[in-house]
Amino acid sequence: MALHEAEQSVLISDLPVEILLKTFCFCDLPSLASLARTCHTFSFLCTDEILWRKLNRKMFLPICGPSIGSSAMDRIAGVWTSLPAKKQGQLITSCKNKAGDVRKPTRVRFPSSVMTPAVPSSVQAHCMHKVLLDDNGVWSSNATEVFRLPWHFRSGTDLTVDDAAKGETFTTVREDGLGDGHASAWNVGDFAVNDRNLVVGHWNGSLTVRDISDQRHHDQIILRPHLSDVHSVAIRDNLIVSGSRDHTMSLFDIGRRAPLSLLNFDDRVWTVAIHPSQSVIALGTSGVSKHPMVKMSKFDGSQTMTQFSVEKGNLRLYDFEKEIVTVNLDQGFKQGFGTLTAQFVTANSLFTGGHDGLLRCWDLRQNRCVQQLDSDLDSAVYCFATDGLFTVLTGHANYNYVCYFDTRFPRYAIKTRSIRQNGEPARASGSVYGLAFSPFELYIGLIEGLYKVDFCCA
Amino acid sequence: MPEQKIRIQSGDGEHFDVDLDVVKLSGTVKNMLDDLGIGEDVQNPTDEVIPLPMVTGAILKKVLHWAEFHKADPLANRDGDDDTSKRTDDISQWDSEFLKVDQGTLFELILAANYLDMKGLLDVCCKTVANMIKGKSPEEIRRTFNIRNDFTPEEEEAVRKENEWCEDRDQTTR
Repeated sequence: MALHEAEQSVLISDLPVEILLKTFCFCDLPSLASLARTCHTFSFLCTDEILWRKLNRKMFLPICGPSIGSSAMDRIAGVWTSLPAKKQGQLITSCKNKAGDVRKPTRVRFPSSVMTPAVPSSVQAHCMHKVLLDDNGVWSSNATEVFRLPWHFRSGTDLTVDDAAKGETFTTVREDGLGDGHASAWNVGDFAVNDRNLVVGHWNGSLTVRDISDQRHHDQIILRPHLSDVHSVAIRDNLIVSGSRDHTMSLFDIGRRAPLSLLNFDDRVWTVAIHPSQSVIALGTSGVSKHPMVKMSKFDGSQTMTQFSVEKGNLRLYDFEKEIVTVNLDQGFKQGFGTLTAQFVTANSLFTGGHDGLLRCWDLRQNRCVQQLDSDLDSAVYCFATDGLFTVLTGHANYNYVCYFDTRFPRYAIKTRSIRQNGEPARASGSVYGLAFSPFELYIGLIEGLYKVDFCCA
Repeated sequence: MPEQKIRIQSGDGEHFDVDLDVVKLSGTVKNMLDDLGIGEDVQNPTDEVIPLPMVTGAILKKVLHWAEFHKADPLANRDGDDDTSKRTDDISQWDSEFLKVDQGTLFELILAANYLDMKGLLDVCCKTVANMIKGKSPEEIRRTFNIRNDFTPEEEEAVRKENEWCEDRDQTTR
């Protein structure tokens, strides 16, 4: 009887192939190596393309040195994507194994002497290093300053701004002597730069605008459009746009040195971006308000005020010439899922990232989302960078995650888990605040400093 | 208001009266009910019997026991994206107690969960099998699952070489 039952019993070989593959997907690599050696059937299943794509998706690369760059560049060249997924997994693993030998990333941090004693240590520990690249160099910021480093600044394991920039031009924008109560009030929330002006948004709701075409850099204007933290600033020609925690977005004309308008969106404004040519601003909010009412104040000689209700949303387009909200882009957003970062990539496309951990690509001709890049990390997108072609990198809220996408293969992402300094594991609270890359270098802004890693050596 | 009961029948003819919200955890049953228009009209309970020919009474009983416990789970846990969770160390205490069964029963549960389209149950069963594989040598896996070695020693050596790179390193997969 017992024997009869044993014969009746279902065996692992009776399970359908898709179930076996699903199970193998939960296995680690050593287990798969063992499984492949048990019998012909399992050996064959262990080379399955879909299985390896899924396995590769959960692999993390150490972000120090050539490994990530080389694979990302290979992928652009189309080599990477033509490889079988198992081969890709092998390459990722081999990069990981030799990661101990490669050069460490270069960290740039502020010299401690710059920190005035008035800045509490808790503030020092929470520097959001944003990063921008332009023709003049690498711009970055920490809590108290915005700095500019020359292109290809010196590499090393742990540099101060002065070390890194030795012998090259260097701009520091300090808020010395402005004396507005606590020093942290002048902490940098965000900054933006064009060929003429540097705009910095501060925690106390003010903006400082500095003429950087003037070699002395002394000409500084202070604006006070907001009541609390400036989360985002943008500049195009003479138009300066800023968004704040106090629910307002401000438009300022730096040419005439005159405010244009102030809009209250009834929701925290996380990000603002100006269209490269049209009179359009993309505006990302926290998406909390259920019945948002927009209040607009105009400053055209006489101050007028209008108000109108809009659909609830977390991502809107505002036309600053017609002075209307033209589109509520993300109709299906979840309540409370804010849009944290937005950039126009071309005249027709807008990329956004936010609390849901997705990077979305919007086609502005149809006003709809044409691609979603899912890192599978369950971590908010704080920032992103793209070359406008196929490469997109996202920076996330936890464990210093950076994720690489090739937009032609959106389901397939390479993830890197943090830069580790002195072998310390990344903290859950470690966030990526800034990302930028050139064909040669990748810049990552973390809490403890700005990091540079080689992007393209073999 | 009393919960509406649905009568289902196993492959070996056993009947079960199950709460609507429990039985709806099965995508297969839910579709059948929707097709038949059952469960929409609370005032007129149906006496229709839902046949599930691919599942035995003994296994169906276990499946229903699992569904009863998990009926209030958030939807995301029940039918999330295929790739959202690749961890095998997140099996709940209750589930791991529930799955302390012989291998044959575990595989029958897998087949039933697959047929009934119950992703949560299928996932946790597959993870349990993956955990049985973890850390074992090929020979130990063969013994555990009663797999016949159809490799020649040369073939097995070739496969070992090919997959050598999988073995040496500390992995940092999540």
